[in-house]
Amino acid sequence: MTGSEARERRLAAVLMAPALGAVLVVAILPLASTLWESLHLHDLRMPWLGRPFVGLANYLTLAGDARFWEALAHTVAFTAITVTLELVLGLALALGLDAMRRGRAAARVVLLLPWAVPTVVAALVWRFMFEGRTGLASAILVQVGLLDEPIAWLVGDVTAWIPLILADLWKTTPFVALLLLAGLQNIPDDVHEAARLDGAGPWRRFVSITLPLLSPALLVAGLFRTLDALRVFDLVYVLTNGGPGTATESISLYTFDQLLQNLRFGLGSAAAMVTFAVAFLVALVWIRASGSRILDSPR
Amino acid sequence: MSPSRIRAAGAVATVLLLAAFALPLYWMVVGSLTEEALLFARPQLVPADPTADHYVALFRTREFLTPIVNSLIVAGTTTVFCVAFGSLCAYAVARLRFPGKSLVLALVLAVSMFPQVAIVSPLYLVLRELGLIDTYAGLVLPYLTFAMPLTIWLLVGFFRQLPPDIEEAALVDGAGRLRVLVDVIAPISLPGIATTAILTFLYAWNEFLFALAFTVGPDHQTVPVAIALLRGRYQIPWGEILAAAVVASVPVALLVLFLQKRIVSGLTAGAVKG
Amino acid sequence: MTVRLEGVAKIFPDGTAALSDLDLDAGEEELLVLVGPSGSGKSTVLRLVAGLDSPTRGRIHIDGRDVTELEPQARDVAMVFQSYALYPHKTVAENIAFPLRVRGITTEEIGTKVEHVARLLDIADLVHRKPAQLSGGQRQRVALARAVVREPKAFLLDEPLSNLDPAMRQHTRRELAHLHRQLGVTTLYVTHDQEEAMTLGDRVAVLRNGRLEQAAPPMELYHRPATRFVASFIGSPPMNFFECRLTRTSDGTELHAPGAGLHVSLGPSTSREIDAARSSVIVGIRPYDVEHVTAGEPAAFRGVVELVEPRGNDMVVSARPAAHEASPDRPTLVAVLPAEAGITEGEAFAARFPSDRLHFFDPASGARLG
Repeated sequence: MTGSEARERRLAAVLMAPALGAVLVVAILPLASTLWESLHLHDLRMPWLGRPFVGLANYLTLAGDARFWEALAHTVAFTAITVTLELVLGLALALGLDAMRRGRAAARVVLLLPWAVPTVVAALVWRFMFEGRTGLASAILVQVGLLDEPIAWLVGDVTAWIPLILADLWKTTPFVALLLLAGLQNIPDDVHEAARLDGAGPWRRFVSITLPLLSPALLVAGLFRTLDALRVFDLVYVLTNGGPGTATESISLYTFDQLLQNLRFGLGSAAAMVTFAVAFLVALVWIRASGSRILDSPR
Repeated sequence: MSPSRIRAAGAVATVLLLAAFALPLYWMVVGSLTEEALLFARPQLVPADPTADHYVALFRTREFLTPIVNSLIVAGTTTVFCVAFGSLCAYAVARLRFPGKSLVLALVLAVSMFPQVAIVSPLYLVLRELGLIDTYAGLVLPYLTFAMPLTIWLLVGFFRQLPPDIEEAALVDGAGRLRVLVDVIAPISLPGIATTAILTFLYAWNEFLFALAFTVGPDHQTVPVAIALLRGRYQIPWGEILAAAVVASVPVALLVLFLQKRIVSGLTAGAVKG
Repeated sequence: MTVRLEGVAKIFPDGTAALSDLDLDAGEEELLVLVGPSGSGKSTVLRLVAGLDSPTRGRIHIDGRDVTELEPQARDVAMVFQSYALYPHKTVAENIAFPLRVRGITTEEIGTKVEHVARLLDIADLVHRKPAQLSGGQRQRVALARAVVREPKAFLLDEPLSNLDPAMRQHTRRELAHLHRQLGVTTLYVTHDQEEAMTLGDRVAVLRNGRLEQAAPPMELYHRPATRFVASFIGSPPMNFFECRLTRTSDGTELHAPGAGLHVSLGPSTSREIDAARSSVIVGIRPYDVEHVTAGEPAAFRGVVELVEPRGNDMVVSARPAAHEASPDRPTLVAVLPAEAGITEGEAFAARFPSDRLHFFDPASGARLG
């Protein structure tokens, strides 16, 4: 190694130290600590029990807890539904925006606001619209004739999911739409024109040209959204707080509950590790399945 | 259907969708200006008797100015440090040669995939040890760490696009590495840095979980927490909540209004190029 | 102020060898042109001398000092990049002043020097503009000014004319030559244009695939190319090459390349230059040296004219041996003849090769014989 190479490495180390240091101390070490914690019994309500090492006992407790599995199931279902809807709706919006000649800036503002607004605000606004029997949602549906009488959305086990899903869609479809719009705009016009000359109709072109060229953007958007949806917390906490009962509890909410409400740090840490593992596996599988396509640019 | 009919239908559908997206925010503003008693009466698109009562109550009784100031301080500080540390790190990754580069990037990316709930408890214990619970630093530190991956990701992409010969010219001209960074790279990187700063600020302003877990009282609570904890004595004070929501959204809305091009380029650059 | 590369090799991490075992030097006040096809390593040489890359093997000396381990900042060489690499956020004056400011020279002295150099390069009225407001030619002069103002030990110019349009190129070429004579600083000049190399260089180094083929003054390169590659690279239109079989006769040597319609007789003195044991040789002759002969006279080449390209004063004639000759590949003979020769396409063509204008190369190594 030459002198200049050594110098470069030293400089690189110095430049990266603050950022990597922060990441190490605030993210990596705590994660390791959570893993370690999950192997101990640590209940802050019963400090006299100390903090004995119990191996995988916490994980077994989780496995036996129906509420844990429900939370997991809720989260997976929520993820599948919202991500699919977001990709479809986002694609529709992107196509619509791509075709717009004027007013695109205004459209961007309208779309960016829901994305930029704090999740807490989104949760509250959507809760307001679905609150009790007299919220806006019921009012509109009754007016339009789709409902005979107003529903108390947040009281029903299944109906409480509706505002959650809609709020999530409202908040994150813009990100997907803008991402896909950028992907669409990267597709050169002459590819479409060549296809048109070859006799392909609009649907054919969409399926054979647009979708394949858009697939890297779709895969990336899908990955980010899936990881976010698996970790959903803010929205559920503020909109339904997991209610009614635990009907809309997500896995993050369950973990939060065990940790900071029940103060069962050992158990909560185990739940947290499971959440992390699920997210990690999903990401790994997704990236593997997408192959190198996820790294392509649509050019 | 003829192509022009399809296009017309598509345009109408797009406009309707956009209107649907705008509706909740509009409704939020309308609600904040409606008397409490009328909030759940028959909904009207334009409030008959707009009132500023909720806003007044928000600032007088609830002292909502405090969380706003807290949020500004925390988000501002986070942005400054995150951009500073992140750009140094991004420069090293983009321009210098050293082993383990992909490991660094993978690590950074992995952090952004953590469920925050997974590290809330150890972080809580550490911050408690350091006496940082319910302080600004106690929030800035975790925010810094979680905003860093996006900053680094965006700036690495940005630096890679800068033509290397300008830096090389500066080196040959006799400037040391640090001088090159400050005198040459930084000024031409302002667009990339601005975008990253905006996205970091938005993240910090909107963050909820850590703020909820690491603050105790109204002195250091940020806006999202303050809104979520607005409780009435007998029932949920929707009017004030909506007013608070509007207030919380104003800085964000301003950023979006004036800087939407930057924001979009930041979002899409990070993701489309992979 | 000399620049010397000693046994330099540069191998990139992915295995490509940009330079292999290079020994090259540029003397005091010399303008050494590095020329060669793309990928030949000429820009790599510049980067190694500047210190932007480190050699895998070998040493680099500037002004007698071994600078191989030194950072670019410490080497006191100035480089003009192909893209000019001007600092976009600084004005012209600030661009030129930058290398001086970095060295801590006082502001007044900087002002004087910048003014002097700006006048020297005729950009004095542009000093307050930013690079984006300048034309390509103006930007290049700012880049030159930034290099000149430092009074460095050596100049490194990386294809300075390639981004200019052809009209500007001629003009700027002359200005660069003039500037070099004025300043008298050792200069390494990279180009892919052999004509530029020949007109500008005190010496020209021809590089190919990371190796030095020949480094010599232009005329020597033209008249005595050391390898077949140099012979083909220098001179336009390029030299004609024919692979010939050798037959010894009592008073000399006969060269045959029947597929090329070629039959050359060499006298004893020329024959001695070519090794007796050889069975084949590559014969080269420049288009300008080919002499047209009329039908009856003895000729080295007989064929048919395929293409005539008139160029005003002269014409470029391409001829090939007649189709009925046995050999499948029929190499073309290119000749430059005066316009009055009146050659037309399709007519029979015969030419002789003056023996003092012939070049001989080894078919295997490409090295010059004799």
